[in-house]
Amino acid sequence: MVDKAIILPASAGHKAASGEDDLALQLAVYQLFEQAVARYTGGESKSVPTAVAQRLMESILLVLGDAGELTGEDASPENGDDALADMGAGDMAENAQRRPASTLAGEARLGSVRDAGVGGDDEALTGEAKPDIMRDSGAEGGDEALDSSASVRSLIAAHSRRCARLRQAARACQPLWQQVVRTMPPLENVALRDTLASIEGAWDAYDPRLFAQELPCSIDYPLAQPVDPLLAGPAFLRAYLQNLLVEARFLARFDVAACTDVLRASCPDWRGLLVSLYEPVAARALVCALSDADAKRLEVGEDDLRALRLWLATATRGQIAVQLEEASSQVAGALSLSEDEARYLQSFAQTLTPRLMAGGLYGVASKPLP
Amino acid sequence: MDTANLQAMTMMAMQRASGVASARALQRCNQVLQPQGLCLATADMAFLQQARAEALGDAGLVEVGLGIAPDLAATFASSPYLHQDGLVPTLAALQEAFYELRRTAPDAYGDDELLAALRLAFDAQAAGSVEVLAGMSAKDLLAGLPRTADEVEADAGSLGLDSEGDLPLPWSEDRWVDSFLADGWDGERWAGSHGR
Repeated sequence: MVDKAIILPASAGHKAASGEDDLALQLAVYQLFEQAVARYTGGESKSVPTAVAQRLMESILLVLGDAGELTGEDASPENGDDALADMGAGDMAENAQRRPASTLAGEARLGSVRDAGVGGDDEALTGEAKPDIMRDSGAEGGDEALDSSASVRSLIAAHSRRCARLRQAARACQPLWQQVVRTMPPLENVALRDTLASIEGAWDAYDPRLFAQELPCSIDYPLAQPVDPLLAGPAFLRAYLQNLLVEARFLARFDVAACTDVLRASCPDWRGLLVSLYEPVAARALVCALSDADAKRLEVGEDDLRALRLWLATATRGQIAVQLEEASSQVAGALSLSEDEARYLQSFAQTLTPRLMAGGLYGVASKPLP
Repeated sequence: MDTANLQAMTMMAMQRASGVASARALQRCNQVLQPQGLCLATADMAFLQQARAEALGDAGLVEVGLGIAPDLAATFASSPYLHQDGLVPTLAALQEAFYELRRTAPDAYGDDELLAALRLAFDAQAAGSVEVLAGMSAKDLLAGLPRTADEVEADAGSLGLDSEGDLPLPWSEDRWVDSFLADGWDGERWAGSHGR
């Protein structure tokens, strides 16, 4: 049998997991990796390029250790994954996210994976495959090996349950997407159109058993408030769509022609380039509020602009920040923004301070080009 | 869990497991080699496993399972160019050629097809020379494989032939309908002299 003294020499400092848990976790990861390779190649090959292997392994570690990065929910024992929680598998996910390329990247580590001979070559697709290391234990290990085998099966079952939850989480994005599509005013930006078209159906094509961290869609349209880059998979998509819905609701409160004027002033090719539609409109609304103009009309008189420029020339960063915060509250009140929208606008307003200090009102309140 | 600790443990477990994998691979190789009067020793398999690790690294691949050696042995055991004398270096070279082919061949080809392509080229063009085999491109190697129906169709398309190998009509029916409505056309149907 495998000598655990050799396999688990440094586990003394391990707080949460016992040596048996470590072994089970390793074996489960091996087995899942082997199944993922078989699934990826359609059972046609036992080898994959290193880059694919890294993505597959990252996915396995993320699913096993998911602490909400993928689903957007808190992992809890009620979710039926006690085995994973007890083993502290969440730290694996943390590592996979912080250093995804390092999971298998080192040449020494790759050599080890190659050497390992993990799992039976014929049984990979059956779900019954046992890594060779486990077969060895089974041959000579007696009860210990059986315990280990049960733990591995339990971990693989937990992985399967989590994959099912991830598919559900991905499908739950569909109504959100529909809301965005229905709410977004007809501002013809190519990136927005392509992004929304690409997202449609991604929830059906999503396969967490292969790449849990990736959704099969292309998200190019930039949000005014980017999504937390630590999120992945369905959690990322949900956060993206939530922010996009907030932006769509905000934009829908204005006349489309007024929005178009503002967008044309901020970027002549606003239709074709990867630009945010929310940013210029929200900035103009805030400038209107700073000038005591009607935010809903998105227009500022020349006199008001001149006065604003004069004030900006002498105002300190702190003063501008305070005024912008007040302006965002005014806009929220004038447009009857929901709590989410108001918070989003307030966050955006904070990012305007350096822009106003650096460039005055250029691009924020200029007139559209003829 | 200490991640560095887990990775170190994983590495050691894998290294430990490699011995088991090696033994199983040896067993499988000998099962197919022995009927042909060939045999591998434990040290030979260790050498092949070491060569496998290097070849995989060179090809930028990660492999699961026992490696390609047992399949390689099964595919090449009956080759007239495989002899006990020089068996191990030949298998090691074939193993390297396989991983290189795996790297360069389209993903649509499975391991079995690549092995078949190597065997065909080894027995024919290379006449048992692993050096010649190693010098052959993926395209040359795969050219020896029996062609699938899809490939025949794709090739025919590139030559302007239809799936039955015939030259297609130089117009489409849709365009023809447009011409039918074009100015100057008197409404007469095409008489059929342009049939195949």
